[in-house]
Amino acid sequence: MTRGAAAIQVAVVGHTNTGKTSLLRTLMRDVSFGEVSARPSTTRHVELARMDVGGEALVEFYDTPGMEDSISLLKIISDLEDEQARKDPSEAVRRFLDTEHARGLFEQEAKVIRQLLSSDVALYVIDARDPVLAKHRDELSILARCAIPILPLLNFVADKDSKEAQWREALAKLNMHAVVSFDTVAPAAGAEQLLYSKMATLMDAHASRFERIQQNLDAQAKARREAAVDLLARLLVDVAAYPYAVNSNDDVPEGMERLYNKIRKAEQFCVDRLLSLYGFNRSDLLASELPMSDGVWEDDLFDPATLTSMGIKFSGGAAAGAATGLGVDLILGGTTLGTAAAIGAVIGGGTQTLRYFGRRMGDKIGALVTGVSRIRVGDEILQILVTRQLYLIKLLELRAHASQEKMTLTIDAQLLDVRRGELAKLIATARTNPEWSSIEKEPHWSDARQRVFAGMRQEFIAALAQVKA
Amino acid sequence: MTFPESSKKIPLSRFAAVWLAESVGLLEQESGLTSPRPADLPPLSAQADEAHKQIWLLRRAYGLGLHNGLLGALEIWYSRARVAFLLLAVLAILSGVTATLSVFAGPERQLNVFWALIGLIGVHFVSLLAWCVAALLGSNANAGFFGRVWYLLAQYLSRFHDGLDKTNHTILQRGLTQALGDSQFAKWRIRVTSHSLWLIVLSSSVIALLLVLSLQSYGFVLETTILPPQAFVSAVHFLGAVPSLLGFIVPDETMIAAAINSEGISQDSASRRAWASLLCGMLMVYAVLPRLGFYVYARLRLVQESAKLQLDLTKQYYGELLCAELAQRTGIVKDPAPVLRAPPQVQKQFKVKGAGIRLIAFELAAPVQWPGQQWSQLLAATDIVDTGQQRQQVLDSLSTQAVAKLLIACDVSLSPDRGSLRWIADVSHHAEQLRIVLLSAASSESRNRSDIWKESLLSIGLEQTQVMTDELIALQWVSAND
Repeated sequence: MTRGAAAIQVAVVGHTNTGKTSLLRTLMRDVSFGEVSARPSTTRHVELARMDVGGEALVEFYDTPGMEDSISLLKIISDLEDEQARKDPSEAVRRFLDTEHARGLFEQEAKVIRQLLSSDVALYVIDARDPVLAKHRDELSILARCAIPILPLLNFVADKDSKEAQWREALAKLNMHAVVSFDTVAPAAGAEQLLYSKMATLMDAHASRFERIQQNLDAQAKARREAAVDLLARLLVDVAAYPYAVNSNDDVPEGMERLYNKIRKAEQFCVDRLLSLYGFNRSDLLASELPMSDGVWEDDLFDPATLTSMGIKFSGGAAAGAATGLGVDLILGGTTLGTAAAIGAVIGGGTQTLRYFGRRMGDKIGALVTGVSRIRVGDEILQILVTRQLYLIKLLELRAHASQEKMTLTIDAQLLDVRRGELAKLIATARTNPEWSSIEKEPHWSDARQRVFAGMRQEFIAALAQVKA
Repeated sequence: MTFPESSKKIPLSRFAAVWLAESVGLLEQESGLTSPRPADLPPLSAQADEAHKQIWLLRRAYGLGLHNGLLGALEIWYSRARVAFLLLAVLAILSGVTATLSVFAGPERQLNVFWALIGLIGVHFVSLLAWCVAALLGSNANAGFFGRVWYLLAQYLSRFHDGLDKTNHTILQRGLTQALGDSQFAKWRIRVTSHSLWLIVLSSSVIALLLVLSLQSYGFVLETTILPPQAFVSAVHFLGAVPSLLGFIVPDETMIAAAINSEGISQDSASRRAWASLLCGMLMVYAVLPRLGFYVYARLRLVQESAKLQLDLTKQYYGELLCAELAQRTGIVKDPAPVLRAPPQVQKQFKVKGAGIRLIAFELAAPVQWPGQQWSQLLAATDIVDTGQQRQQVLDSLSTQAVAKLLIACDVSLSPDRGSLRWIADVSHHAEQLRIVLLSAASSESRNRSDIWKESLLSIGLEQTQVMTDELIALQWVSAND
C-alpha cells in the first residue's frame, strides 16, 4: 500500500461553463465548494478540493478556469515548436509559460496549463449538449501536449439535447477511447464508482488508491443512510410516545396547540439534522419538488388538508378527527368522550384501543384525582411524519450537490403504512412507554427502546428501497 | 493492514473507557457541538471495521475526556469506589473477627462444637443459599447485598469532592446507565464485590479462630438431650469427610463418645486438637472455599462480560460522528484569479467603407444549415467559421476587401467565450456595418443564453441594435438595398 505517498493530482479542465466546479461539488458532496453560475468564466482561479479518506489525502482535485481561446493559444504554442519541441511536445507548452502571452491575454489559460503540467491526470469536462467544435479539438490538442493521461468526462448526458454519441465518436477519432459519462446534476447510479475505476485504469500505479476511494464511498453512503433512518426512528418514537399533559378539561384546545408546536419543532429538528447529514443547507432544497420551501415542509402537519394532499386515507374515528381538529388522541382523562369529539380529538381504533384500555382506566382515576388529562397525536400524524421524511431521505440520497434544478419524486402515501405490520407493533410499543420520548426530558434508556429503534430502522430501510426516482 | 488508531492503548479498563465514551457522547449531544478530533488521535481509516471504529471512538472519547473534565470526574468516582470498598472491607474484618470472638465469649473454657459452627458460618450459609437460589432463578434482584451497599456508598461518596463539576457528575451517572445498557456487566461487578467482601469476613473469622485456638485452651463438647450417641458419630463423619481429605484431623469414635455431654475441662489435648482441627476444617470447607469458588467464577464472568462491552454504533450520535470523520475537505485556493482585463473592442460602425454583404455561420452545429437554401441562393454564400484556419481565412479575405454589411450568426446554446468575442472584435474592423444574430438550436429554455450573449456583446462595444434575436429581421436587414 502506498500509504503516506503524495495524493494523486487531478486537474479538472475544460471549456468555459461546462460544469467543472459542479462536478467537484458533486464528487466532494459539498454544496459550498467554489462558485457556480449559469454564466461562463465563473471560476477564474485554481481551487483545491482534497479527498481525504481516513485522514489521508488520496486525491487532490484542482478546479481550473475554463479554457476560452484555445484556437489562438494552440497557434501560439505551435509557433513555439521546433525540432527539439517536436520530440517532447510538453517543451513548447513550457516555453509558452515563459512568454508575454502567459502573463497577458492568456493568463487564465496559463494557470490551467501550469496545473496540468503538475498533475497526474486530467479530467476534461465536456458539456455533452454542445456540438463538437474545432475549439474543443484544439483544447484537447493542447492537453495532449501536457503529457498526462486525459479522461474526457461527458457532463449533462441526462439532458435531452445531449450529443453523447457524437462526442464519443469525435473523441475516438482523437484516439481517446476511455470516456466516462457523468451527469453532475443527476448522476446515474454507480456513475461515481465508474469514474474512479476509469481513472484507475489510466493510472495503474494508483489503482489501489482509487479502490480505497470507492470503498469509502460505499461506507459513507451506508453510514449516512443508517444515521438518517435512525433520526426518523427517533422522531417517530419521540412523537408516538409523547404524552402531553393538560391541567384541566378547559385547557385541552390550548394544550393541543402547545402539543402541535412541540411536534412541529421535533419534525423540523429532524429535517435540519437530515439536511446537515447529507451536506445540504436549508436553502438548497428550495427548488426541489418535494413540497418544501427553505427546508421547511410547506403543508402544516396538523392541517387536515395535508392528509388529503398526501393521499392518506384513514377510516373511522380518525377520519372524523381529520374533518375537525386533527389527529389528537385524547387519553381519556377527566374529560368526557363528548368533549373529546367536540374538539376533534380522535380515539385510535383497533388493537390500540384494547391496548390502552387499562392505561386509560388508570389515567381516568388519576385524572379524577389530579385533574390532569393527557393528549397525544394519532396515527395519521405519524403517517405524515414517516412518509414525508422517508421521501426527504430518498431525495437527499439521490440529489447531487451540483443540482440547481428540480428533482421529481412523487409521494406515495402507501409506501409504509404506520397502521400495518411490524411498524404498527413498534409504534404501539412506543406508545405504551411515555418515558421513551425525548421531547420533554431525557428519555429513559432501555433495551426495549433500542429494540424498537432497530426494528423501525429496518422498516425504513426496506421502505426506502421501494422508492423509485 | 495496520490501523494506527489501535496502536496506542487507553490507560483505562474496558468498562471505564466505554463509560467515559458514553458520557463524553452525552456531553457533546447536550451542548450540540461535536468537538474537533483530539490532537494525538490519528484520523479514522475508511477501511476500519466495526472493532477498529470502536477503538477509535474510545480513544477519541479519552482524548476529549482529558480536557473536558469527565475523565477527572471518572477518576474521582473510581477513587471513591475504592474508598467505599476499603470501608466495607474494614467492616467485614471487624464482623468476621467479632463473629469468632462472640463464639468464644463467656467465662467457661468449653465450646459446644455444633453451636460454634452455626455461630461461625450460619449467616454466611444462609446468604450463600439465598444467592444460589436467586442466581438459579436468573433474578437480577439479588446480585449481592454487600455489592449493592458498596455501589450506593461509592455513589454517595463520589458526590463530595471539591474539584467536581456538578454537571460532569450528573452526566457521568447517565453515562453509566448507557454504558451498561443491557449488559450483564453490572450484575457480575456487584457479585464480585459481594463475594470478595464475604471472603474477607470469612477469612478474618478463620484467622481470629486460629489466633484464639493458638493462644487459649478450650475443651470441646457435644450436648444432647434426645439424640443417640451414634447420631453424633455419623454427623461428625459426614461433616468431616471433606475436611479430612484436605488433611484436617477428624475426631475418632472414642473422642466423640467422650465429648458427648461431658465436661470440656477434663478433655485430653489430643482430643482438643482434633476438635479444633475439625472446626477449622469445616469453616474452610463449608464457608471459605465455596465463597472463593464463587468469587473466582464471578471474576471470570466479569472478564467475559467486560470483553463484550461496546459502544452501540447504530446510535445516531455515533453514526453522525463517523460520517463526519469520513467526510472530505475542500476549498483551498491554489492559484488566485488573474486581474480582469478589459475585453477587446469592436470597431464603431461606418468607420470603414466596404462593399457587398457577407454571412458568417459562427460555430454552428455541423452540418450547418444556415440561413437555409432559399436565403443562401438569394444572398451571398455563407462562410462557415469553426476552425482556426477558417477564422484566419475569413479574416484575411475581409482585410483585403471590407464589406458593407456583415451578419454573424451565433448559437446561444453555447457560452460566449473570450476567443469568440475577440474574433468578432477582429472582423468588425473590416465591415461598414455589423449585426449579430443569435440563434437557438437547443430545445431547453435553460440553455438559452441569449441574455449572456447580449451582455458579452455589449461589453465589447456593440450597440443594442446590432444584436438581433429574430433571424428573419436579420436576414431582411442584410438583403435590403439601402
